[in-house]
Amino acid sequence: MCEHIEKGAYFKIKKPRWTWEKIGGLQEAKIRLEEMVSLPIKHVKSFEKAGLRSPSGILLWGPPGGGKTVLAEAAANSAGCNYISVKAIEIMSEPEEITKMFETAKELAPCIVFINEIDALAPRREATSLWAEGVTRDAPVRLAPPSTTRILFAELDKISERHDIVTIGATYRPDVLDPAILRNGRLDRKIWVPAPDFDERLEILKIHLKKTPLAEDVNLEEIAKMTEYYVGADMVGLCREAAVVAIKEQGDDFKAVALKHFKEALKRVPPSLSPESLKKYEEILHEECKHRYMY
Amino acid sequence: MHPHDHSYLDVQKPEVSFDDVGGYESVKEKFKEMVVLPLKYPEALERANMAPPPGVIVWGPLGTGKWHLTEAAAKEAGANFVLIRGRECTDRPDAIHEGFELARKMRPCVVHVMDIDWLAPRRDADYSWEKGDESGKPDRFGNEEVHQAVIDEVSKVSSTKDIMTVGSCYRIDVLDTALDRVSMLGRKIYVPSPNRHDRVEILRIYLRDAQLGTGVSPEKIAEMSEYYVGWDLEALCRKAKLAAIERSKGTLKEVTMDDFAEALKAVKPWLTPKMAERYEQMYKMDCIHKYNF
Repeated sequence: MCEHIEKGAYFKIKKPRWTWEKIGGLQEAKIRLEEMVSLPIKHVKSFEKAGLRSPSGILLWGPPGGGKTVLAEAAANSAGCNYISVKAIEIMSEPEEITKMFETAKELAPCIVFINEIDALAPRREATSLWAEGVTRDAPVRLAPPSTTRILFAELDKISERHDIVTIGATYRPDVLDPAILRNGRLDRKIWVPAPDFDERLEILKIHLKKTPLAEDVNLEEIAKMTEYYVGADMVGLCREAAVVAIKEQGDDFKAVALKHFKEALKRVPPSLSPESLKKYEEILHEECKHRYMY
Repeated sequence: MHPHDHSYLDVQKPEVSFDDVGGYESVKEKFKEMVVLPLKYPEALERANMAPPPGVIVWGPLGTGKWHLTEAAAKEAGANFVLIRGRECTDRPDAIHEGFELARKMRPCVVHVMDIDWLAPRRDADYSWEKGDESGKPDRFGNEEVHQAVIDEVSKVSSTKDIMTVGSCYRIDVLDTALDRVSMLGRKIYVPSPNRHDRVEILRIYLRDAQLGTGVSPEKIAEMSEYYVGWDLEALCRKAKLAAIERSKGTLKEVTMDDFAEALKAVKPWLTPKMAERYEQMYKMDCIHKYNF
């Protein structure tokens, strides 16, 4: 079945397909999202009885390709609610689309609104602080005008009291984000989506290669060891490239993906991160206010 | 005449092969993997539990051979080839539907929607290279129905394993983001302007039947033709040959360096150094994961 997409598709109402189990690693982020987003939607009454105000919105941040988009989708799946997803660039030029999107969310409530690359929609105006060398990919090409940012804030304020609509914004650079978006009632909580460590990389490999025939010389632990500085999307790309190399070689007689295919794939898919960029992320995290990460 | 041999639509057994396209070894590899392999070995992919790319955007400067490469991919895959000429379809939603309908009847098939940015532009597309220079900007765009037809048809065949949609455009930042989604034309291949090695190989093809004077070689011409893309080089060779014929007044022995010097004066490249730089920048800024299988 294909989903219906309109031309210029401003925002997309999507059936969430990802689940927590399909995402490797990121244990901490999954738990936080479950607690901060899914649980309050599932058990509105209990939260009311406990007198616990759930977060109005969440800022997910971490390196590009680290799994922010799939996490948000899985949160919607876990909450069993509707899911609207949009990339900042898609609604940037027509501010009324932002209003329309939140109107739709109200109709579909309970609903999660996911705004990817939200830094382009609400940029810190004076932000020109240069990022570590080599992390220019995925940088927003254009930034929204202040009038658009104001509309976004107004819409976020309108739904801040509603427990059945949660906005999740994603960015890889919280330091270039307009701090006003983090005010109470807007995206008032943050979740850090880190680069996967060895165990998490191993888990990602296991999930993505679960049904892929592997030759005897393939030791996933060994591959996880070789993939330091790889993010989730790099790992998926690596698995796919290895399979392609194997099929190219064996054609219809394809039997299994062997170690040499992974070695070739490692050359084709370089890591997204570097020691320098990782250090920069950790510096930002270190400087952040810790309370924003608590419930 | 073939019943579907219209100006806006072509259906054919692909004729161009990868050997007819000079240079571009790594780009060809990408085509072989993203377009050919899923059509050629669908069962192997299934056994490996890897989903094929739903569709591919091929982008790069005008005249770099995006069409030839796509046709060659169809040939290598042993597939049929439907070519929808975007520029001729800006007011013809029926042509879009007809093209994809034919593709569904002629599986396995590669559908090439040429100049897809003419049909499905981004709303606020900015075509400027520098102030006042909007080189390559379409003179008309697809109407509402055409735009929606492209989105609908791409979406419809995105999960069809024996149809591969290839949309080509000359800039990646002017295309409707709806097409850019992972579930639509979810992968990209960048065809850059040819480097020196590529130019040598391209020139080798255009000069293969020509008698060349002393000192004239593909290597030499390649060195003098930075920023020339495939079709510039073709025009260059043609012009040099013509100059030689005129000069010798019917007693042609060989094409000399003077003929090429004259041709180089007459045929100028479309790409400027500034544009070439912008292209590299656009590519570098784009999400790297979409360029993997």
